[in-house]
Amino acid sequence: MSEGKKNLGAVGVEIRDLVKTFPAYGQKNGEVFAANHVSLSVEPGEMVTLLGPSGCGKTTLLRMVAGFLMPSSGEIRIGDREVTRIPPNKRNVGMMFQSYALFPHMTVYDNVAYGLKLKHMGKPEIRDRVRAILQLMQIEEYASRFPNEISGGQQQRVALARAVVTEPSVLLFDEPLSNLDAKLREYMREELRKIQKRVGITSLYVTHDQSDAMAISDKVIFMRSGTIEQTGTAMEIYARPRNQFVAGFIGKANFVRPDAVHSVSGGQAEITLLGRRMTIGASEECGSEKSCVVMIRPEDVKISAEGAFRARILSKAYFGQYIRHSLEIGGCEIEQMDFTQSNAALQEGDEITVSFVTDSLRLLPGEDKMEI
Amino acid sequence: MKNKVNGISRGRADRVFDWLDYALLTLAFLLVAYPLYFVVIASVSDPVAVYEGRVILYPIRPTLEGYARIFSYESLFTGYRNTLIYTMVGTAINVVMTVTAGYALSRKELVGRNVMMMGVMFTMIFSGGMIPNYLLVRDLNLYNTMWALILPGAVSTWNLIVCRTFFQQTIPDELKEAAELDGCGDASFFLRIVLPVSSAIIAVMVLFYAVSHWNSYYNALLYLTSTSKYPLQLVLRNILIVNTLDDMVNDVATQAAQQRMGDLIKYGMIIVSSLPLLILYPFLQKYFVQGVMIGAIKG
Repeated sequence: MSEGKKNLGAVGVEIRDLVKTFPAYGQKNGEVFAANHVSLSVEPGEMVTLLGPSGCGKTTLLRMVAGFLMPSSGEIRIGDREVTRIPPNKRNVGMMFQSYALFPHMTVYDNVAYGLKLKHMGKPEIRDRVRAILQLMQIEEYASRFPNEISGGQQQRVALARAVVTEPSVLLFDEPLSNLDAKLREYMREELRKIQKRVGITSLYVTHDQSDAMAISDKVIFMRSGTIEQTGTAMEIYARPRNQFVAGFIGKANFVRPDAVHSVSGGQAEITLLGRRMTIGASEECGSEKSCVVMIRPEDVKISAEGAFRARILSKAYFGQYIRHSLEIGGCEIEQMDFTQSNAALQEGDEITVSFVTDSLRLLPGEDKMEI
Repeated sequence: MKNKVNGISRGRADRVFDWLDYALLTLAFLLVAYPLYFVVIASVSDPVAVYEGRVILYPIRPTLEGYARIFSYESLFTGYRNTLIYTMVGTAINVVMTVTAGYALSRKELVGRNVMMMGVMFTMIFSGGMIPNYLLVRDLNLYNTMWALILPGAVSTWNLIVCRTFFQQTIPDELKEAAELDGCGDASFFLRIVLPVSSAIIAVMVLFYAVSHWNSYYNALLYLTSTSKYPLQLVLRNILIVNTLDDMVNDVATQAAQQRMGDLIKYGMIIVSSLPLLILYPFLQKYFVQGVMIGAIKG
C-alpha cells in the first residue's frame, strides 16, 4: 500500500449510508439525490479519489465531509469520532479548493500562517511551522509575495501549504488541478502525490479527470447519479470496469454488440463477435438475457498479417506517441492505437487484417443511452 | 498616426476610419471641456467683456473682483465647514450601512434575502414624496438638525445594489469556506478578509456618497432654518440671490453693473463649489468608472 501508511498519526474516514437530497425545481415535493445511500471508507494515510461525471455527487460528498453541507441522513466518521453535525473548523480537516481560495490581500507567508494565528498559536511557533511547510513545498523564496505575484503552480503549492500547516487529520482536494494547463497539471499531480505520501495524510480527492484519478490514487471510487458505481484500484477499474458507462469514462474504449452470447459464468463469457467464436472476460452483472456489449480498448486492436479480422482504414491521425487508426471491421467502426508505430506506412483506404487481445476484451452490461 | 500596427500595414479604409475616430473624439472632448474652461476664464475676466461675448479663448482684462466679493461673505466659510462636516459624517454613515447591508444581502445563506431585496427595490421605484418625508423628519425631531440631511438617505438603493453585486462577483464561496476551515467566524471574515479585498467598492461608495453630499442643497432648503447650519451650496445660492435682489433698489446704471457683477459671481461660485471635487476627481476617476461598470454588469 501507500507509503502514507507509515504515518502512525493518520486516521481513516468512514461514510455510512449517507444521503443528501435537494429540492427538484419544477416538481412539487420532488427531490434530487445528490448522494443516495453512499457508504465508503478511506484507510489511514490512503489517497482515495472520487471520480465521476459532472453532477454525479462527488463534490457534494466532499463538502459534506468538510462540513459545508449537512447530510439529510447518514453518518460521517473521522477516525473514531463522529463528525456529521460538527462545524467545519472543529473537524480538523484541511481543504484545497479548485480556485485555491488564497486571500488576495495577504502574502504567501500570511496566507499559510492565518489558520495558526486563529488557533492563537505563539509567534515563534507559527514562524517555525510556516517556514517548515514552505520549505517542504519549495516556495520559501516567495514568502513575502502576494498571490497575484506568483504563478498558478506556485499558488497551488501555497494552497496546499495552507491546507496542511494546521496538521489536519484529513486532507480534501476539490479538483485542484483543473485550472492548470496540461503540462503543469501533469507535473503538479506528481508533486501532489509525492507531498501527500511524504506527509502521510489521509486524503480524499475529487476529480472528473480520469488521468488525475489514475495517476495519484491508491483507490478510485467511481460515482454516478449520487451512487457509487465501482470501487477499486485504477488498474482494476480500467481493466475490469463494471459496465459500459465506467469503461467509457475511464480511458478510451470501443463497444461492439456481440453476434451472440452463448454462456456467461464464473467471470467468463462464450460469445461470437464479428463472426468469430471466442471466450472473453465478463462482468458479473452480465447475464445472457441482458443487453451486453464487448469492450475493446484501442490498444488491444493489433494490426498483423495473421489477424483474423479483415479491416479497412477509414482515417489515420498521428499523435506523436502513437498513431490512431479508425477502422471499419464487419460494419463496425473501431478505433485502434498503434503505439509501436510499425505500420506508419499504412494509408486511408488500405485493406488490412487485425486481431484482438482477447484476454483484455470484456463483456459488459450495455447502456441504453451510450453510443455503440 | 501610425501606418503600421504590430508591423502590419494599415489600409486606406483603416486610416480614414482612424482620422474620423480622432476627429469625433476631439469634438466630443471640446464639447465637454470648453464650457468648463469658459467658466474658469469668465470668472476672472472683466464682466463687461463677458457680457459683450468677447471672452472666448482667454481672459480679457483679468480681475479677481468676483472672487473677492464671494470671499467677503463670512457665511461662505461657515458653509464650507458645514458641508465638510455633512460630507464626512454622512459619507461615513452611508458607507458603513451600505457595505454591511450589501455584503449581507450578497450571501446565499441569508434567509429571506430575496424578500428583503424586493423590499429595498420597492423603495427605489416608489417613494412617499416630499411632504410625507418632511412630516417624518419633523416627527422624528430631526428638523433643523444636521441629521435631517444625513439619516433619511443613509442607504441609497442603487449603491446598495452595486455593492451587493460587487460582493457576489468578487467574494467566492470558496474564500469563505477556506476561512471557515481555519476557524474564522462571520464577523471576523467580514472584517479581516472581505473589507481588505473590497477597497475598490469602498472607494466607489465614498466617491458616490461624498459627491452627492457635497452637491446636495435641496434637503437643506427643506429641513434647515438656521443659516448657521447651511451647507455651502445653500450659502452660494443665497449670495447669488442677494446680488440679484440688490438690482431692484438701484438706478439703471448701477443695476447694469450689479447685473454684470452677478454674472461674475455666478462663474466664480461654480469654481468655488466644484474646485475641491475637481481636484480630487482625477485620483478617484478609476474607482468611479469601476463603480459604474459594476452596476452595469449585473443587477
